[in-house]
Amino acid sequence: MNSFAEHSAPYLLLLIFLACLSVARTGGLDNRHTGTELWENPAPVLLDTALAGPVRGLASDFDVLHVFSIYQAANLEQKRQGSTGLWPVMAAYLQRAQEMDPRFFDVYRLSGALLAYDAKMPHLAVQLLEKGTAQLENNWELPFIAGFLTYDQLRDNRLAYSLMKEASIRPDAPPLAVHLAARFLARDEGNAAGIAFLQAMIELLPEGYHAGLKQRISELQRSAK
Amino acid sequence: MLRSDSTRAIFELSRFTLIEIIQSRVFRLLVGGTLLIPLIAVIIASLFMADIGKVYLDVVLSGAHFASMVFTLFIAASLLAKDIDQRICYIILSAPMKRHHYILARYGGLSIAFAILAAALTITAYIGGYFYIGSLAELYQSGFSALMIPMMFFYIFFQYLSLISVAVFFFSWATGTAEILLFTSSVMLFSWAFPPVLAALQTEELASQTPVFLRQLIEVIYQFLPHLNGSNFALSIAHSLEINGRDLLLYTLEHSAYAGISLVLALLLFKRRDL
Amino acid sequence: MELIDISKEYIQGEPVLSNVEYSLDRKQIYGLLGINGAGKSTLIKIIVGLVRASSGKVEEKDASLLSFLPEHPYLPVDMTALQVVSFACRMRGEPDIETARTLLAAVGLKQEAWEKKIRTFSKGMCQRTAIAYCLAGNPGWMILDEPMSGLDAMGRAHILELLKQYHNRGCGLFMCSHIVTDIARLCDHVCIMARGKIRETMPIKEHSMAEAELMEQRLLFWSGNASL
Repeated sequence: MNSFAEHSAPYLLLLIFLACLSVARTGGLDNRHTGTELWENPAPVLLDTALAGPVRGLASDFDVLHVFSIYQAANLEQKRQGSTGLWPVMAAYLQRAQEMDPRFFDVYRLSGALLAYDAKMPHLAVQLLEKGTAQLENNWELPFIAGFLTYDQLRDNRLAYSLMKEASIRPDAPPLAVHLAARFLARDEGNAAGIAFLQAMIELLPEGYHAGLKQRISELQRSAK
Repeated sequence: MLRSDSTRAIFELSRFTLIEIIQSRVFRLLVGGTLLIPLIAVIIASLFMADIGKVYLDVVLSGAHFASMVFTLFIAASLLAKDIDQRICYIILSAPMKRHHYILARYGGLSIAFAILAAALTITAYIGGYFYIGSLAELYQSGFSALMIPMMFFYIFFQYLSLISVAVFFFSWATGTAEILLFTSSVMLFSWAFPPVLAALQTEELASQTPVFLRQLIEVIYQFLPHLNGSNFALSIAHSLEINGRDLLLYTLEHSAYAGISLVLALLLFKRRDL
Repeated sequence: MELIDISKEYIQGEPVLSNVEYSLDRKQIYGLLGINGAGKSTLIKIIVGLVRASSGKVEEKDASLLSFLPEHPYLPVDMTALQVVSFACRMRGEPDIETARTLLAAVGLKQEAWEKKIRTFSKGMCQRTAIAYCLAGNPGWMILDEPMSGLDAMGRAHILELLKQYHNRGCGLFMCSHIVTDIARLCDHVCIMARGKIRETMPIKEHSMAEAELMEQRLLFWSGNASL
């Protein structure tokens, strides 16, 4: 009996602790399962920058990963409750990602789609895209997307024109961009061109991130009829 | 003759140090662990939409920083701390070995061991990048070039050579493990955090929010630290941007000079201390 | 070797050594005896150059190799005994591996331990390895701080014999120990240290127990007399 206690007790204890751990972990404590109210705004920029040190690129990557998670959580919350307070948080992480690595293209891609159409924050999206336009001097897509958002959401044709003009003079801008820009600014063709552009953007994004863009396409289709 | 004796002493202790490190389990684990870095980089990069090549390089760079810090703190500083704490330096100095040869040779051995680690990291990251990122469509590569990986390690190597020389400097006067590890890790922490903070403070918005004395204090401390200011280089490399030759030269010069100064100070202090 | 007026203060006003004067002849074996805190280790460290004297100096008449065995010698734990001793051989201009093997055999370290990491060694095995390290390169002087520490009775007899052999080949020995009998068995002269000074030197002629007892009495006398 003594020998049994001596040799088996540690294994028995180990089993008990393992059982307790699995009960605790499957009992709903794990953040991944709740999906709401997990997100806070990023830490103050100076602290974040100090923590990131020489690996600002990775800090920016993690901010974008946060954006993915917040987007999923926001959609879930919107479905359940009809509204969500997570969009400003997502916007804050996108801004932080842009500050950490101003040349990170995914940030602008997400701004042009999720921030503008899902979060309904086109002003901020255009602002971020304009910052990107200044950073990526040879990229025509960013001013083009910014121009489209300005035309489609902010209804500022003048700014849209200047942004699209900027896009069209940048290296490697395809003739399509120039053509589309002209069509946007010809009011009668705006809707069809807008739909074409949004569909092109859908091509660039994974399926999980299409909701806002598809909604806008159907709005444009309705108004065209 | 004297010259050849000096060279032999430095060569022999460098070799001894290198073997000592290579035979230690922590170094072997670290080198083995580097094989995981490209794998982790591939896993994280695959979560992203388009800039997969850029994310791969970001993760590899961070992994390299982590491995280099582990090396500096747990291999370089620990080895030097043991020399003092366990009085291993008594037996080595009685080889016979002059004190300045001892400092130079220990640093030499540590640098070569670090170069081996950096080479292992470069090779594994290069292979991972070449096969994984190279197999993706151009859109997802985000301008990735496998040649950027050796370039990235070149930067990291020089930064940490400076930090290792700082550990040697602390060894030259510290009383033992606690002091050497404390001071080296503090320098490492400040070197990590200060350069990007100072860069951020250049912006008007942040500058107006930070008291002037605090900015000046940070600036003064910063001048005493080795600059882990690889963030600009690192971001440029991650985006496959060209870095000009002048910057490259200045960067190499800065870190070589910093390591040189730390070592000379270490020689002067170690020569005078009672063991 | 001449010790000329050596004094040492680690903290100002608290002398550890005061005006130590002594002359060492390589043809003799010297023992240094003293209780804890007498200043033995500091004196030895000054002789081998690990500590700088506050005043005075050590003068060596010939530039022969001076080898040092510290008290509780720690060796790099991830190296093998053979690698450590080979390093000493190479540093002292001798062919490394063969000489290292000869030395490890001479100190009585079992052959199967030669290529094992020092991490796995007992205290006695470490001590033997350190002694082999010390013997490399046929040193002109060996300064030994507690050389028998960690060794069993057989080991002590073996090492004493080995040290005598090296002395007969022309190596000067200066040994510091707490163990009076070891000094009595090996040394030709003993210096008794107390409170930072060499208080008395005695020749050892017969290497007998009686001489050991006498040394112990003198040591207690000098160390116990606080007014000195």
